[in-house]
Amino acid sequence: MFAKLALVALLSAVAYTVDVETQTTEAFILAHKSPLSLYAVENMDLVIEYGIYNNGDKPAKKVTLDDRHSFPTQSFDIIKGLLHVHFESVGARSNVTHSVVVRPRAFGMFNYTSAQVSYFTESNDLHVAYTNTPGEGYIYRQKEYDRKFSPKYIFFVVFAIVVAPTTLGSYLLFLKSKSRFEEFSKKKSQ
Amino acid sequence: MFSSKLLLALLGCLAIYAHAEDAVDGEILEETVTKTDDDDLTIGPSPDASLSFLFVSPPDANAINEVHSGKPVKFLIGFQNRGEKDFTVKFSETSLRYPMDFNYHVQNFTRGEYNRRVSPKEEVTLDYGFFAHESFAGRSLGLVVNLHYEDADGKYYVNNVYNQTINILEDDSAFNHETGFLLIVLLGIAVLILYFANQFLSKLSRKSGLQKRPTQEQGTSSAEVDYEWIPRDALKEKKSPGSPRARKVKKAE
Repeated sequence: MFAKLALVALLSAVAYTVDVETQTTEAFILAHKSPLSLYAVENMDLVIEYGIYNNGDKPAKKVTLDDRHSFPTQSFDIIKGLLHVHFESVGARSNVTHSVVVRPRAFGMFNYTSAQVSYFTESNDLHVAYTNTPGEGYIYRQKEYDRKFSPKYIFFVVFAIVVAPTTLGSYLLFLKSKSRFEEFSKKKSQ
Repeated sequence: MFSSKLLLALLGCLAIYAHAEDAVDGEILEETVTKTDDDDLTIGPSPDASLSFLFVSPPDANAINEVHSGKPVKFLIGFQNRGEKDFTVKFSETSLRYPMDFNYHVQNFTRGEYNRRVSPKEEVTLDYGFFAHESFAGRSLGLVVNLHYEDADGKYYVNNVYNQTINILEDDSAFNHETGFLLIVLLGIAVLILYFANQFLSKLSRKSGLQKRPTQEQGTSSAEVDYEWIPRDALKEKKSPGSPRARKVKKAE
């Protein structure tokens, strides 16, 4: 009887520790992918940020972020940064961020898909994780974007020309008569 | 003899009745079981799914459970498939609850639709974000995040990933435009008041000065005007056209 009880107690203890181990201690990578730029515009820089968060109590080893498939070279130029990066380890409860600058080549709807993150836990288990999907976003035409947000220098130049007769003309007239009086007073004083 | 037969028949009838009653009882039992199966409240998490929750912004919300009103609150949900079957993550539902009674919903947020398939031994991160309204500033509310998913057999699961009371703080870091403009308007009014006060006071003082030391209008006598300071061509121009005033002066001369 006593032996049976002891066995049950031992088994439950083992089950409990196993349960605790799987629930809290192993590395658990959460990865997100989000655009930092407010607008995606063709032929203009678009900044994408990746965040890798280890929400476990043990470090994750050999963390690899791969997003090469979601920016095909026929529709995107990679301006700066790598789409395939490797981190030797991400500590427990810590995070790393990585950003990439790309430039869309064409306008229209584009479906931003998830990036892949693979990592090894302390016990050398390979985990394959996927980030969130930013989803469908519109890549603006450069013309549309310029119409909304460009500084419009030509408009200002035209405006300056239009108002020149009333502002610059009267100022020149004023300068002319002023200089006449100043010259006269100089002559007098000499 | 006859009476004993009657008794037996009666007993038999009773037994049949009792049996029928049992069957009815069983049916009722089955009905209650199906009812509890349909009820949403009994749907629980799957043992094959392992979930993780993390606030991304504000980052210290993970430790101190505090968020700022009017600022984005973003969090990630990690979904790990440890079973043998595919899971399909349907959506997450986020709501603010009354802290004394979590059954009372203060605000339900739009659910985040994911519809993502998670293969065995794979993980997926899901994101969601919301704003706590400014009217909740200074209150503590219960934040509940539930994740809905189903497996390949169509079995439905709901997993609670966050269920805690959070403090919603007033956002005092950002510049408040309303008070800013009010300040500018008040400043403008103050400057205007100062200007008019100055004007009024100077007028008063000038009046008193006039009474003390009255100056007489003397007009322009030709002797006092220093014509040397005026260019000659300007003088000529003034003299040459016969303006009425010039004529008057001429006549007077």
